[in-house]
Amino acid sequence: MKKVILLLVIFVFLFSYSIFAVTADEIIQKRDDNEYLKTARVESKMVINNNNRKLEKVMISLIDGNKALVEFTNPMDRGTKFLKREDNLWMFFPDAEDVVKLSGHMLERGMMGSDFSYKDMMESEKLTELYNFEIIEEQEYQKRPCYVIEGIKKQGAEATYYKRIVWIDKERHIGLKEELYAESGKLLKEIVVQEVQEFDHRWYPTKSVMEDKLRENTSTEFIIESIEFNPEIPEGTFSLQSLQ
Amino acid sequence: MFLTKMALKNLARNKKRTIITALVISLGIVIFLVSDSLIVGMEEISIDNNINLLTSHLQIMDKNYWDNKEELPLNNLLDDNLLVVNQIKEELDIEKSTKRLYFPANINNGREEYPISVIGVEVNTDSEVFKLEQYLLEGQSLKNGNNAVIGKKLANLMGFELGEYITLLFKTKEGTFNTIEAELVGTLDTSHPEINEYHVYIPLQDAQNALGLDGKVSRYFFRLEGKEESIPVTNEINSILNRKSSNIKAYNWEKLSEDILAMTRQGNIENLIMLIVIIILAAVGVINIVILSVLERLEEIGMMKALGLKMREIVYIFVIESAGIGLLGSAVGIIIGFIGVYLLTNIGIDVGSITGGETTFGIPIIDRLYGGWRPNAFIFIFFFGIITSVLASILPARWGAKKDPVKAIYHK
Repeated sequence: MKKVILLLVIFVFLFSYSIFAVTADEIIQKRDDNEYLKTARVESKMVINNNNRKLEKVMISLIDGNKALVEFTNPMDRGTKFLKREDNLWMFFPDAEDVVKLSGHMLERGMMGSDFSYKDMMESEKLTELYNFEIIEEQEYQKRPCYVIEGIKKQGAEATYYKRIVWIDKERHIGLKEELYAESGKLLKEIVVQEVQEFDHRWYPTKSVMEDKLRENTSTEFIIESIEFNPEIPEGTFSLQSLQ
Repeated sequence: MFLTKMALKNLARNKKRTIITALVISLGIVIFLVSDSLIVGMEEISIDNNINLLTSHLQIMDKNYWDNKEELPLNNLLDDNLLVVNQIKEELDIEKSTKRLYFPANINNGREEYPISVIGVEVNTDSEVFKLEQYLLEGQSLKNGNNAVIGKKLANLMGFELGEYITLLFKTKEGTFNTIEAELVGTLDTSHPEINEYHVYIPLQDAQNALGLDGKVSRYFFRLEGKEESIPVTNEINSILNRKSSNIKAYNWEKLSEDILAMTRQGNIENLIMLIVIIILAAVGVINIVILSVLERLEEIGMMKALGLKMREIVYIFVIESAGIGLLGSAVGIIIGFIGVYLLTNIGIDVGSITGGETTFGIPIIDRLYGGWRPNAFIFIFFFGIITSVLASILPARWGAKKDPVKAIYHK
């Protein structure tokens, strides 16, 4: 009788676990769905700290699915624009009045001198297609209950980082911290979310700091000042002509 | 015959004038020969450096790799134990060969990054083909294990000291970031600016492991007895490869050094212009002196005319005189030039100490510049000296001979 009860307990435990437990992929997917801006107009700024120098870049971004147009408005870079369409990125320099397509190694450079590479800003593939995710821990981070999830690149997948560890807020479905690793195991970059805000029943990170771990004393703060969801985006906004 | 004798006597009669004029010609010839020798020497050294440090005598690689080789791609690679390579070595009796794996990376010192080319070299065989070890400035050459050798200029730029660890950041074939941390064991100071500033050498196996390309290399390299052998051997290798209808092809150093050779050709045009200027200057000096000597001897010309010599005969006397001066000047110029070129080719000039070792002349050179021999230049300039001298004498002699004898005698 005791054995039967024990088996029953184990069965119930396993059954309930499979029903109620969320998988790492689901958590990542939820985070991505939450942080993914389908259509939006975002006013933001980047503060680049390099040793004792501080540079501020202000920009307005129009986003529609996997297309985006970013225009810088701070005096030094006024008129500089980026256009992203799927995996392609173009840049317009007002001084040269020229459109340049960024490709290859150029995409790995820091965007406008920041710690975010162009490639980081362009990632549009589904992370769950590139990585095998696994919950490695549940812990409190920034006083929030979090899942700590580790993603290892799938064999043959063309992902920029070999491993990523992400701390995801269990309730708000936002990544509060993410570490990006090289195949050798070396930590390359770290993003920490410092402020989150609720827009329309949806929590969104509004201030995050990216650190390039291979360079000392540099970091880039990315601050979202306003988000307008589902704005009217005029037709032709994401055309090459609109860059000039 | 009488006229020729008279002309020759004139040469001896005005010794001072003859010697000065001949010396002007000699000087022009010496300058020409020395400049030409330096140009030839520079060409040879830059080609030899390129062979010893970058291209080797010949390489084999995938035909598709060749098209994109400047980007150091990670596709279209070769197996690192290609059977055909052994067959080539056996059939053509080539002893020295090695293989390398190239990839682009950023070198990182914790503060900044700098784009470079990483070269995975087979530690045991690389020195049979390339002469990098000769240029080792500090430390030791590459050994198996986690170590690297870089150019001194790059080490200075990044602030690396021997014994420190350098970090290389790069992408694997799948586009995933990876890093290598290797101990800096040696620095190079070569005559090739590209190597000093952009190359990082690590053991082949480390490169293969880090890129996930076990058993793969970018190219094979061969060293032959001399660079002149490279064209026939390349053709023979290609016929072996064609028999096997493989996608691999051999390329000789000339094909591999097209950019350097193009630069040299460009340099040749500039040098030719320089030589033409030197020749014109020498010719102007000669013409000037011949004109002066004719003007100085107007009275003599008047006297010759009064004695019944025809214009043609007077011009002939002057032409023979000038030819004599040209011959003397050219001969002396050739002898001094020969000594100069001999010294240049055997002792050379220490360019490094003059320029602080930063000399490139736009092409990879050296710390010591040696001259080269071009026998044609000697032959050309010898006749050029005589002909210029002769041509320069005709017009002023005709002008003087045309004069009325009375006016010519009393022209002052």
